[in-house]
Amino acid sequence: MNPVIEVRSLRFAYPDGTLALDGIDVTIDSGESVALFGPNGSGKTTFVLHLNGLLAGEGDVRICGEPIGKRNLRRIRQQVGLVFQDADDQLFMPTVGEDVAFGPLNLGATPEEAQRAAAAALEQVGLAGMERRAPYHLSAGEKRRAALAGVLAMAPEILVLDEPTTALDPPGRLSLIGLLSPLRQTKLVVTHDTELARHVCGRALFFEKGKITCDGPLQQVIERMQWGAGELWSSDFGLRISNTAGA
Amino acid sequence: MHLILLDHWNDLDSPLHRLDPRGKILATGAVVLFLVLSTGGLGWKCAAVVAMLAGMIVLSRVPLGYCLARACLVLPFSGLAVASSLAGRWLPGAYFSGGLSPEAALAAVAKSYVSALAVMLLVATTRLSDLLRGLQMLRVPGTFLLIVQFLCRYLFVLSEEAQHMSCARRSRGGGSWASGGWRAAAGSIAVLFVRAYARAERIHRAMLARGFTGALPAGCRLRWSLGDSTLMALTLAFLAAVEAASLFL
Repeated sequence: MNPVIEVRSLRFAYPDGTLALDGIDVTIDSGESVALFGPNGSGKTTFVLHLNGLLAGEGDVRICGEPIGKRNLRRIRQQVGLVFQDADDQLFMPTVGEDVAFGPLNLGATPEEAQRAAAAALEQVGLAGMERRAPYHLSAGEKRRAALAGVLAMAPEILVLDEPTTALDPPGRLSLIGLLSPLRQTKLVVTHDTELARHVCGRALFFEKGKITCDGPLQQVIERMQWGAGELWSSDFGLRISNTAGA
Repeated sequence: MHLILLDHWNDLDSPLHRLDPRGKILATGAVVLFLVLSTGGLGWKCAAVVAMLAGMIVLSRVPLGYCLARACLVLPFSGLAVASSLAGRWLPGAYFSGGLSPEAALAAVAKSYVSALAVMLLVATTRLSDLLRGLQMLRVPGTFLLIVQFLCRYLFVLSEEAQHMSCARRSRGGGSWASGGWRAAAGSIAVLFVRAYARAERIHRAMLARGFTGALPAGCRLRWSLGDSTLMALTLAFLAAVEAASLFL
């Protein structure tokens, strides 16, 4: 297989001294779909922000064989499409159409080309004809889809989604799962939603305290780290609480 | 949550809605400039301009009452400025010395109201994105436009956050001013500021992730038509006629 993400000895500390990543080593091949699990604050989001140069720590991060640098930042950001956790952060333009066209325009497309790319991306996520809608008129699910369209319009090779099902109702969540599954890009999905991961991903990484403590087939990682949706496990208290206890 | 929507009338189809935003911005600027520079016979000049604006509002199919009512939003601000000026006139030695005469104060309030009505017409018939694009083409600084765009976009998000915090405060009995509610409200404002700051950082990150390099890309092309020239010409001719007529009255 052809590796599209290669990360070696990646370390990153925030300005307040918090060590967020402590020696990450991972390789992801083209076409793979990988779930990133782990407790809150374990470094998952910090890790994905390194993949398109939004953060730069010590170590080596290569995208499609190229190390990330100032010279190739524009191309890297086209190759790695990042969908943020809060869609409101990503939908900053006055209308949905302008927001989706924002990326292609920054990549040098003409207004007409950008509009065509935006229309195609909106159709792909099921929001055709919503170009002139204002983002604050959209539902949570539609906002999430519009944010995804904004990234798809840039035709990325790698799609990174940060907790895509947060705040979605069950139909919205199912609809998003149906949308993500057939996408042909290499996918990294930061999530606590094991059902989403089961439908979309084949491999999982488990983050703890800035390190990857488990890497392997999805089901194996879920079982080994006891990360299933059906049970909560607390290592601090030695408790196991099954949600089927009352059944 | 109930939010005031500013773009409710943008989707109507009328000759004014179809015009290039630059023409409408320049015509609005001409009306405001005319009012600011006018001195004698202000009462009937304002009445003439209101009549012209009312005609345009009817033409645009935006409810006239809506515009007339919304333009009143400017009155507390101009009223406060005028009241301070009057206080300076009537209270010798006060901070605001050398204030306006009552007639000039009234004229200032009238000018502010009619100017606001002209701006209401512009905003009701022009989409925000077109307005910003028009201002950009008229060489208004990009940083200023970026601030206006983000202010309009995130006003709704922040006001929703403020409403959530207010609900949370009231649900725990923090609604009464007498029982220290003002302290909780002050705390909420501080939290809202910090949240807004954190959100601004996240938005900037999201912009960088999609190739932002410091300037907003031009998303649509504008086209100046005969209708835009006609609007400009008619507006200027009307204002000139009003000024000329004032010489004979």
